[in-house]
Amino acid sequence: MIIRTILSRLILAFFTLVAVSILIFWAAEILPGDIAARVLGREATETAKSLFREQLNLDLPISQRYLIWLGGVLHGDFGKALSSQRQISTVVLPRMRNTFFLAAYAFLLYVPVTVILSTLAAIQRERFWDNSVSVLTLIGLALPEFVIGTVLIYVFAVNLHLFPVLSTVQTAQTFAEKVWMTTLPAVTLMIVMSVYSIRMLRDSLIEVLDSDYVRMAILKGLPRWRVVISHALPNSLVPALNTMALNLAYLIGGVVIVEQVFVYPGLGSLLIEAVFLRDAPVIEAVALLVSALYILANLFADVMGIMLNPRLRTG
Amino acid sequence: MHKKAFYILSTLVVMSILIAACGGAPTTTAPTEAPQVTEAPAATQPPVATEAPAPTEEPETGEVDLTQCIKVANIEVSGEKLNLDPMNQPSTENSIMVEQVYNRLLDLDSDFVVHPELAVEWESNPDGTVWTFHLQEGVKFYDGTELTAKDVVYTFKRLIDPATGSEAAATLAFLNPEGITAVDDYTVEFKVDKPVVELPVLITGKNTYIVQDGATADTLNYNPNGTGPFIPVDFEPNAQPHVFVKNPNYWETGLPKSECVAFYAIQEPTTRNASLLSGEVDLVQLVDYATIPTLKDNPAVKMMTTGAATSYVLAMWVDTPPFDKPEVRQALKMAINRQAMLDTVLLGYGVIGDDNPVPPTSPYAWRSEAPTQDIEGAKKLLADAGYGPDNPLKIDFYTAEYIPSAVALAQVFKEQVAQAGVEVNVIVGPASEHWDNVWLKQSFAGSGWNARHPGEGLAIAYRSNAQYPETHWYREDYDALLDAANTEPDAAKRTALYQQAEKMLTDEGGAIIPLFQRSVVAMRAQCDGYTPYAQLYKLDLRYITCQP
Repeated sequence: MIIRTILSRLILAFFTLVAVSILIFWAAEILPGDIAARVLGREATETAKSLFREQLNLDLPISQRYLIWLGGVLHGDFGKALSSQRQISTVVLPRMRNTFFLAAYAFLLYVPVTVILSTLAAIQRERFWDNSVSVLTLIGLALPEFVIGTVLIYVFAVNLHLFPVLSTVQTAQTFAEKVWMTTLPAVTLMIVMSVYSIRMLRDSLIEVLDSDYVRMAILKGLPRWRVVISHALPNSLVPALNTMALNLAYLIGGVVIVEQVFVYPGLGSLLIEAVFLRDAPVIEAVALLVSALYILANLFADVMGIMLNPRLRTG
Repeated sequence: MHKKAFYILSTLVVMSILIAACGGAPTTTAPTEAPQVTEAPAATQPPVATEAPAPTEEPETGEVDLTQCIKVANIEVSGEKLNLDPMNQPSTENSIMVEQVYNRLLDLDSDFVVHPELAVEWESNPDGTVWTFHLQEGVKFYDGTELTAKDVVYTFKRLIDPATGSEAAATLAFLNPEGITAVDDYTVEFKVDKPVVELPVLITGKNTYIVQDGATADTLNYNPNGTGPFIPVDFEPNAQPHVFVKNPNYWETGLPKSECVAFYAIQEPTTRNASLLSGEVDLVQLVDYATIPTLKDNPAVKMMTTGAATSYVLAMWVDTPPFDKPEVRQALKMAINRQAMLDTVLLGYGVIGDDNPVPPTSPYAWRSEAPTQDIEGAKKLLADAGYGPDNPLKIDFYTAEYIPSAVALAQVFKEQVAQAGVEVNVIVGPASEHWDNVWLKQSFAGSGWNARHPGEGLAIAYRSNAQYPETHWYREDYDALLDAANTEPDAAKRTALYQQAEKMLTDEGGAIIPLFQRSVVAMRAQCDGYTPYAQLYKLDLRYITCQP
């Protein structure tokens, strides 16, 4: 059953991606402003600009260029960046690796923090821990990510000298150094993601703790921690999974601001730079990649949901 | 059956794509090593010279100890377009790196006075049609070959060759390829058709760095062979930081003083300052005006300012109502309070402008003071032009944050001219669109220029045949002044001609130029030997040293 679901979802994902690719291509092409002027600068001569356009087939109709591009993509060739003439893979792959690294780090911090704090809040309902968590998450919700990032920089980097301001991981020699350099952005992302998830998970946990089968388990004499961990938590995780999947997608494509604050070389800032340069091939490649990962993250959440819920598993 | 076939087919399609994608990746990861012919016209040149084996060992990133480097934070992120070919430099980040790799014939200081660099001496015939430059001997490229006159000839021919698409072609249009010749190994001659008395200044732009004979974009972009104080290490456009190590064979003895430099592009102003305070960078090339107070009184930081740098221009088309009336243009110039603008928009870090592109602090300025606010005078001029309380002048002003604080300037302008009864509607667009779609397309729009020599600054936007006629100022008498200056060999008389042209712009021109920025530079207190330039593209790191 699960295999079939995954398979049909993958096929659906493929057609979604094709639709997305058309949309992306079209959107990148209709961006206002002249690519030649953008790439060559304000003082470029007309001759230089027309030479540039000719070199890149910019005078062909859009449908024809889409087909050429799609043909390349199907062969794993995303073309060359307009601005540098380098292969897209050379441009995108290092950024993608960095994004995955930061995403994995932030996610590894995010899941336990969310589960522990929300569990704590749920079993200590309306008491000290619950109230503190509630106040802290409300503050976190109110603060935009660049404020959180900047505060972390001033406290932990400028004043305490515990971590560096700049997360330029390309200079890291060892894995430990890389982790050290990425800690502040990862913590920022963890805070941004967890504030909402903690509140959600707490509420759904409370709902489950109030249900009959949990009361039954308690009456049977099971220890409190076992009731919470093996009976209540798995069931309350299902609704939270979707938030987690969305957060995963956010980590891949939407962390531009955090990347900017910490000078982290990820996909988000690459996308912004490419949009600013009107570098359509880079925009298209990154957007396609991010959409693919977005779809995969949601698929993953669905599969996990099925696995955690016995009813869905057999049905 | 149908459904099953569909599943199998679709699965096959998806699988094959994945396989194709996986198979395609490894073959494309090393394209920088394969020579790509992107510059067809230059392919006729024998590539032998640039392929010569380098005697100095190629440094690699892993070997450079970053703690020994002077770390510089600059503001722009050029992304993929960054390259080291002097011919096209689309950003400041680009220019400051090019400067570390090459040398020019001459150098310009912040006041646009010419100094020797690769050329030790130069002279012209009396009418300024033949210019001779004598080169420094013993200047070596990274690969050990000596710089000679033919490298200089090649560089300038390449810059004016229309086939290369060089951005310098317009400013160097007075040169013709036949006129550039190597007299001997150390003498270069420029013969021009008409007298060009400012030739030394004009050939000292941000693009005129000398490259090796035969070099093309293929090598210059990422693997250049230059003569400059530093050598790039594994240069890649999208890397952070960009590292350059000391050139051990640099021709200026004892320079550069530091072992290596590293450039960080940091867009966030607060991050820039924080990295300076934490000691991760030594020099912040541009401090955001709003964040100056957070650094100013910190003993760990030295602040420096440049002379008048980038100008703020409010450009009116003098042939389009209501700006076709000189009274209207003068009234707007009189109604503004430049000192208040300076204090609010730039927090005092600037120079008040005099509505001409030459700042009043320049030795070439026609007067050294700037006008003060005169609301009554402005009202009177507006009344002469037919506007009054019951028929107020209403204008649209198009702007964007194309340079820092441009929008704030527009808001202050609006409030100030309102005192004279003028209603300004400020239309703020996206900065990325401004130069392409607004500037030169609206009759009243924001603009701005980097610091320039008056010979260029007065012409580039205000001559009749200007490339960027931002004020539609088509005046034969103005052009005649510039022409006269261009052929006047006597420097004092030439300055007098520039000053007459400037006065015309101040009195009648369509550009309101209320302010020039001063760039603010912040350096760690343990560093020494850096002087900022008014030219943003210039970052001289030969003398800087830092203690930990």
